[in-house]
Amino acid sequence: MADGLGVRSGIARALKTVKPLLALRERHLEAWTALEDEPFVRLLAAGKVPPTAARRWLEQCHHWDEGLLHFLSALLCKAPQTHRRVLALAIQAVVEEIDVLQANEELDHSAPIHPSRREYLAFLQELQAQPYAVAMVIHWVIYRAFFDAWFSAKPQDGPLAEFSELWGTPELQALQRDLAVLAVEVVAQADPAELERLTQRVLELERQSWRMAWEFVQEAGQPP
Amino acid sequence: MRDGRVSRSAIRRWLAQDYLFVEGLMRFQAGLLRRAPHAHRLILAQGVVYTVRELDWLHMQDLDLAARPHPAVARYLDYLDELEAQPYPLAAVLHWALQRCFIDAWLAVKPGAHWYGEGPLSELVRHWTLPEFQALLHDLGEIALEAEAQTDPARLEGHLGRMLAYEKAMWQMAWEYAQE
Repeated sequence: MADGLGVRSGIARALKTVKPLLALRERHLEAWTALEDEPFVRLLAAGKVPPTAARRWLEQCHHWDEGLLHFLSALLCKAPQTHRRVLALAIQAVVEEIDVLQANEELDHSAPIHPSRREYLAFLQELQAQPYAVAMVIHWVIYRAFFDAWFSAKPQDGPLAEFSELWGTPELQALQRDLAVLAVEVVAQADPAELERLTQRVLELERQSWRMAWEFVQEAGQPP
Repeated sequence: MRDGRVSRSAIRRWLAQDYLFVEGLMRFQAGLLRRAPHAHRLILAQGVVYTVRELDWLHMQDLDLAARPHPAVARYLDYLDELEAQPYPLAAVLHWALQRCFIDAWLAVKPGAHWYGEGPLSELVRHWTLPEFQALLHDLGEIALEAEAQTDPARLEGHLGRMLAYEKAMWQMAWEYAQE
């Protein structure tokens, strides 16, 4: 009974901590949750992504991770000392993910960057120029919107199933929680109008990313 | 320091300047990581994590972190900025060399046993002698070795000479503090 109360109060504390971020998500809930209904995400859930499409999607993930590495290292340089350790660990996690993708011999690492990915990478560069607080909160929006969609599908079968495991490790979950705590710490310092505008843009870029993946499925020429 | 004759206040002033330098080093490492080939990145990322841990430790020491950088530190930081514009192999070799050079001098000091007992230096000694830091330094050395093959030897010599002069100036700064 005491343990149950402890767990419940722990959850309540955690929810209270991320409340300002959840409020941001709430204001964009329609576009946010619509990502879970993207055709590629539904295909992921069914574990039916054709291998060719999975490979092409991972190649684009590789390009994305390169941009994210640049973004995070710039963020680290702007961060207050108390935020640096978590950001340094996030950088290490991205480098490890790039290593996993790099080791996949089936991927064509010189594959051209898809236009929608190029747009997202350009957005990340723009975000580097934003004040630290804005960049930090929008970074949370980016990964949270992606992982919400991914874990709504949580593929257990098919060529991308290993990524559910990779992204679901306790270490990565803990890192994401720590990043959320940092975002909460600075959310009050960020221009609210900018946060709304950029969140909207991230959700559109996320939608385009899933559409890109769906394009790969259609071009794979196999009926899903 | 070996004799334990450096005052606490001189050590604190030196550590505050060290913080400013290590912050610059972290920025330099982040830039290096961005430019590094895949095979080097994980080690450099671990280097960034280690540097941030060192900053965390310094941050907790109640130092005067608003202190202005001493000219020796300012010049060294300018040099790190300059190094960022240099080709990756040269910057990677210098990155290892400056850390190795500092640690070699530090370990040669072997601060007396009284420093190990308590106080900030005992923790710093532990930090720089931990097996994981030694392993990291070794890995950074491997990276430097690979990078050295792509570096113009004469240019490298010139930069090593400058780096050693900046290191020497840092110890002279510390000596100034000890005398004051």
